[in-house]
Amino acid sequence: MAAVVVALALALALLGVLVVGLLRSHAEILKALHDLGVNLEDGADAAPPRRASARSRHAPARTAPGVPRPRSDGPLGDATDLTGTLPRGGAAHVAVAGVDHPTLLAFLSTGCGTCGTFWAELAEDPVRHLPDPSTRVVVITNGPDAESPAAVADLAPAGLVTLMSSEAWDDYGVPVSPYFILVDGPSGRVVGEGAGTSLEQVVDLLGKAMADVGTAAPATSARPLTRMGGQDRADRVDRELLAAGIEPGDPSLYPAPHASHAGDDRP
Amino acid sequence: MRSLADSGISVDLPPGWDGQIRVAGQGSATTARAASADAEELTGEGRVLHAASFALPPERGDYGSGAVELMGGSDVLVCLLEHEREAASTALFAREGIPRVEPAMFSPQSMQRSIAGMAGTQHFFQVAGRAFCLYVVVGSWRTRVPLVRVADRVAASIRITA
Repeated sequence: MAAVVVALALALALLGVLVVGLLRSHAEILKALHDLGVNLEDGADAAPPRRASARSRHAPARTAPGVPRPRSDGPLGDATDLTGTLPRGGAAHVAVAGVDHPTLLAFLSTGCGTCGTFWAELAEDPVRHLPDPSTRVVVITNGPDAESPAAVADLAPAGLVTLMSSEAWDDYGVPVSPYFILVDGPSGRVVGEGAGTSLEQVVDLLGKAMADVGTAAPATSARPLTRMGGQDRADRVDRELLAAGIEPGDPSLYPAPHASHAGDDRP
Repeated sequence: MRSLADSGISVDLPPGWDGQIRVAGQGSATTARAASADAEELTGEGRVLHAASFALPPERGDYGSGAVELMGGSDVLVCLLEHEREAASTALFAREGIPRVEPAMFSPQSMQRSIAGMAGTQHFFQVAGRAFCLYVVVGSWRTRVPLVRVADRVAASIRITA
């Protein structure tokens, strides 16, 4: 009889431990969901997600294996243009500041496992993931001193500029690959940065960052990076001229007399 | 101004400009579309310089096909194309020194492939025994005066060594 009582007591204690463990696990899941802005209570509105800055004050950020942690000392600042070498030979300069479109800088390497996903995704029309279709995507690896140009050339997406520039990694303080930085062209400012396990995740992250700083992209770009037909081009030229206050017959539309015609009195 | 240099060619790029210096004929190596659109895709070990007031697409031919289609009315594209050294001894490349460009040189008919509203010009010359073609396109023939002024500043900043 005593043995049965002891056995039941042990079973009860074991069940108690299991219940406590389950409740604790459940609470942690709810807390994590709440941090992401999800509220499972009936009738409750979605809770606003905590800002990264608030979260970072309370708990260290956690990332998936292979994904670098966000920088704690990375204030968004001025962007710098990119200069480097091309994987198939040659040199290039890419302007990202003072241009009329945003630029997504994808800092990748040929050796990191997580980067493999991005090399593949970027090869398949990455702009379709982006909220602003005029966004230019530029892939940047370290320079030839740290990467094999042939290996980079093999992975380089055909539709994107791929630049090898250790200088760019230093300029932007890139902590590790993969890492993404979004630059607002007109202001020349970095408006978001971070990493993820997929391009969709990174774009979502950067989209929120843009919304946070009030630089959400317009639905349509002033200058879409698509090819235009002859009439479309002529219409656009007319619109740009009118916007600049230049109307038909404006003197600025006609060249100054050539030097050889200096004595010519034709109008 | 930001200087870009490679293979004995350098250029000063105005703010907001893209630039690339690459091996000639890479348009055909990376993209059949751009190469097929180019009237004369270069071959050999010559270099090609592209300087543009807009974002240069990676898929483009040596004469800028694939890029000129993206140009707006206020854009400028400067192409410097190196031909085989032997060409420097021919009459076509007899002129020495990088030419300057002016509005009167531009014509819609000078485009490699005519695009409504745009205009271009090209000139053959040699520097240090290297044979080149300078091909410049402006996004609007009607407003070519200020655009050519910018193009000329960029062309004037090009330096070539043997």
